[in-house]
Amino acid sequence: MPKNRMLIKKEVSTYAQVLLDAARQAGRQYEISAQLEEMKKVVRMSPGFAEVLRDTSLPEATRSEIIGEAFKEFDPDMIKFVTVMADRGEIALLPQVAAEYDRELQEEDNVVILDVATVIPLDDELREKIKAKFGAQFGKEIALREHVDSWLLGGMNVRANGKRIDCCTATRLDKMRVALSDVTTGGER
Amino acid sequence: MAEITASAIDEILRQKLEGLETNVETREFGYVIQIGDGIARVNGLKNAMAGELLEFVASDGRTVYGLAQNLEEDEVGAVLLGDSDAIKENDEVHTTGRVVEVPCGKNFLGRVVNPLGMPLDGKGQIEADGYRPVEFRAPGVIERKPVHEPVQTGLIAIDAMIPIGRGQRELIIGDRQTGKTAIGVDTIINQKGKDMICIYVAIGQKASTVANVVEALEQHGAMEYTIVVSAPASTSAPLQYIAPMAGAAMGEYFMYNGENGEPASATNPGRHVLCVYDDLSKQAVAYRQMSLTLRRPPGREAYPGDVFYLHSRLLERAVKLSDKNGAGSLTALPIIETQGGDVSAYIPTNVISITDGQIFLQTDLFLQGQRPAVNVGISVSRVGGSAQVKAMKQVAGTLRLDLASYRELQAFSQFGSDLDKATQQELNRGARMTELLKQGRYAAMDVEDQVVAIFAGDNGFLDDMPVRDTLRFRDGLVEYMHTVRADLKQRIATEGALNDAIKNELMEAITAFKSSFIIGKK
Repeated sequence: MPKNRMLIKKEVSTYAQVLLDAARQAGRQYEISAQLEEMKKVVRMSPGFAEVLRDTSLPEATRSEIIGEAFKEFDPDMIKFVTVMADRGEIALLPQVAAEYDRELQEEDNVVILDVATVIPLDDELREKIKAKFGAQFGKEIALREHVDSWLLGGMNVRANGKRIDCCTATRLDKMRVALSDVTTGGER
Repeated sequence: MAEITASAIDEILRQKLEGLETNVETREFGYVIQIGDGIARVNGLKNAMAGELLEFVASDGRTVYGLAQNLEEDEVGAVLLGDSDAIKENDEVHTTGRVVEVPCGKNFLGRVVNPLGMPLDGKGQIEADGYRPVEFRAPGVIERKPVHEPVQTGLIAIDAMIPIGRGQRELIIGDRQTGKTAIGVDTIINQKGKDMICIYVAIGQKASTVANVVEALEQHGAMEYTIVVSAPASTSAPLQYIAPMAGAAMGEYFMYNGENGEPASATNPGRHVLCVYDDLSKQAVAYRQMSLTLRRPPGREAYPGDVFYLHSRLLERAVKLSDKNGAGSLTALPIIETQGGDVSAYIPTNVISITDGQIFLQTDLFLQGQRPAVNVGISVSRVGGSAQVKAMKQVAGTLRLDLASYRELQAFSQFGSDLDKATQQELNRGARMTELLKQGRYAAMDVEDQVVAIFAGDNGFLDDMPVRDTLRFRDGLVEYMHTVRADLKQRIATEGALNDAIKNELMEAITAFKSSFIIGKK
């Protein structure tokens, strides 16, 4: 039976709050936020894997083994957390839990989490520059979540609160490609 | 086809690269979490607006536009306006901060375009004079003035008894194959030289039918002042849904701007526009499909609850603007197809109640050879009377009632009882007047010719002739007035009414023609 929307919201909030409390106790709340984001991405980008996690007919031990294998790079506590969600048949809530976790974290610490993707890792100078620039823009402290992505080719990609500033070389080349291929003679395509 | 020569390629590529946006901007983004049936559910986009244009970026770099429809707590339900097969789950979506707009302008005249303004006729790109939003607020009471100028359809049955005014919304309703499109197309063809821009919107029709309409318009030189917006049955439901609104937006460009392209005003008059929406039942079906796939609750006949609002806000855009606003007009001729003559179905009743009258076409009349198959008994024009030319009012004032009483008597006469002379006379006159209203396709008549024909019928010139000669007499009389008595026709046109002198001359002219007609027959 489909669950009530308010009930789902409450569940999401509980998951997020419990995880945040545990992460705070370990002093790793931002690290966990980054891992949660990565996990969300893995589940979103692999529909087959998400299907397996949602499969309640699978024995718990087998599912736990699959999760452990898929997320072996991640924190063991995070693997346990995802396993609990999967065992309860609520893995579909992972994106909402991640969003709620970030929302609560940002609210409690009065910060803005900024995802910065670059081709090479950031150095301290650039890190400080980014923090200063976006800190002034948002009027809050900035918590950086750094990602290295060779696909960008150059430049950087900055995301915060569902908005993005994309100034990477790959996007610019892609725009150029689309502009050049978008020539029509006025007939039906 | 527009030609692209080798020398022009370099130039085109340079132009394209010059137009490339190189600045960096902050954009809101989300991801497609589910896609199917031209509907996408998008995660994120917390600031999306209802009706906002969304940009879907396919994995191969192609951009497909969509329309934000359902704004929910965690996601947005959107309909895709382009190639929905290109979009997959996890593709990125951006908000644009704009509502859906269509390009419009003079260069669109003579062209066949899709509801997004892209050309479909292979005649090259169209340079737009501007863009207008597909959804646009209809003008308020203060910005309007009453309908007072006629739209001549060229069809005697309509111009005489169901007159349409500029700025009116007149529904054309009937079963399939009763000549609904024919009335719309004939009206467009008859607008030649009458300072009217025409928009023909084909929704959910066969592409071959649209091609036939375009060919007919081209043959009669009507494409010069016409734009055809085509959303055939093969296009996606969202495109069929926006097609009439896109047509209205293209028409509004001409109404809200003068000849010089500047906004219309008291000194810069706006243009007159005629929009034929063929047909709104198909648009309603497309909207139903969209709404059901968006999981909106179904109502009567499974249409969503706001299908009335969909049609009312479209048809409210038909307007006669006040002099201060340029006095332009947008006349709407929506078409509705009924099933088995059932006008009490959901969509027909809705549109009947919205419009300022309806032209009701009937299958049995069509099969009896009465074309256009207008049932004048239940067809009405609620505001067109004030737009009718005075001469027509004088001759056709009682025509509708006469024909109604003829139909009643006709029913009685079928019992075979003896009829008194007056009844016999009324039946004779009725049969000839009914015959007089018959008209073929693409055979529009000037309003002066219509006045002369009805005048002849009213004054009993047809009474002593066989019914089968009526149409030959009418066409001959029109020809005679064009050639021999062009002066009299001109006077009717300039004076706009029939005074005693004109009436006397008209009687003489028709008598003279009748003598020659009878001699010619012998």
